[in-house]
Amino acid sequence: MTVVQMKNVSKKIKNHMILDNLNFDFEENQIVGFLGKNGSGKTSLMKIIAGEWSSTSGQVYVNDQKPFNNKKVLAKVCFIQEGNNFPVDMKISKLLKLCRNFYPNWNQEVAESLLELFDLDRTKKIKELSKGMESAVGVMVGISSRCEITIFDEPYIGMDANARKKFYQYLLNDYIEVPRTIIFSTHLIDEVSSLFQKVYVINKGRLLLDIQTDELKEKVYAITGPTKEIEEIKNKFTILEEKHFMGNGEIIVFDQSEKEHVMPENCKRNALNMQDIIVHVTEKGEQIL
Amino acid sequence: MKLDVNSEVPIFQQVAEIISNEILNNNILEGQQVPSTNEIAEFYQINPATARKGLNILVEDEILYKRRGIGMFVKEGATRKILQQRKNEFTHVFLKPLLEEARRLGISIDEVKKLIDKQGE
Repeated sequence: MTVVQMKNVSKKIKNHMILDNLNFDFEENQIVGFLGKNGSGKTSLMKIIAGEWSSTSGQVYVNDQKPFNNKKVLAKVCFIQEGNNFPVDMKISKLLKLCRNFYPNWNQEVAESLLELFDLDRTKKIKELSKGMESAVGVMVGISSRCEITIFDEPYIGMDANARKKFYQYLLNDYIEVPRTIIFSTHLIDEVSSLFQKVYVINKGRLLLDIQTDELKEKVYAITGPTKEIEEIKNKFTILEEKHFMGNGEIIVFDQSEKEHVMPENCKRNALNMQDIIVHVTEKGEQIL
Repeated sequence: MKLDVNSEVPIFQQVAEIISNEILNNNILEGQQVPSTNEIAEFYQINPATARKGLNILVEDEILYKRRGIGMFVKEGATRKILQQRKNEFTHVFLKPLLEEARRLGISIDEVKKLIDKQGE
């Protein structure tokens, strides 16, 4: 079943185009990544999916319903943002009680084990927690809610590498146990990209790529070889970066063709890691569209 | 046994390689069941769909077969098949780069042969 559907969706705030004619949809029970630079529109897009914001134009469907101000959708979505998720004067124990009543699939056992995993003291108020601890509370609520759609918008601010690793591990294992739709936006791409089945790359409010994670490496890669030979094949690709040094060159290409290119004799194709791919793609965004 | 999520090799391909290696090393025998998609996903911390893709490559290559509702098993003759594949790749993956580097260094083919003999002793 299609869980999120966007048709010509735009969002304008004070004459400023935040999201520009987005079209995409995806199936339920996948972990998808929303990637892009700061200010690209990721958070706005997540707010629209979560029903917090309306779009200026276009149609948005979440589980075949319009999400904005829709209680039926809200109950199925858990949206964890990078901060200010909870009232600062609330004790963790009170928060747990509220969540148990609010989220229909709430799992208390999961919540308890996450409290222990992150060393959270339930007698503390949110405002008494460090930034990382506060983020851990968000992570705990996001996973324990077991909502049909869980959205994490850079939920790990202040969490150290150990805590982040525990979070990714717990999230994946809980997803394997109870498959559901998870939308995740992050800048720490290499830490989590192996969890994503699909990625959406957003730049200046526009959708640059809508692609299966492992197909990305087939589309964006480096070619190294003698400058002469590089020049010969250059025009077959969209060039994202080009460097030459001592008679040798390296180009980062976006390969839009269906079939594999035959490389000149002394040229080599090298794959890039996910972080580099996203950096190159978002730097040269306009050329891809 | 190690998987590198930031490697240049796609993760699903690494999954397929790891399983084939374990078959070659006789850690999983022909006829035996291989770990499930979820077990692989959990162990290597990757998306289950990626793990599934890796296993499916081996099904296509007729190294594994599916038993509905039970899991995936190593086919009879799988070891020989993997060996054959690896031998075919040997020239491309190992020999060609070796000879390229030898040419760059001005080492003749005869000298390379001698070096191999010496190393093999």
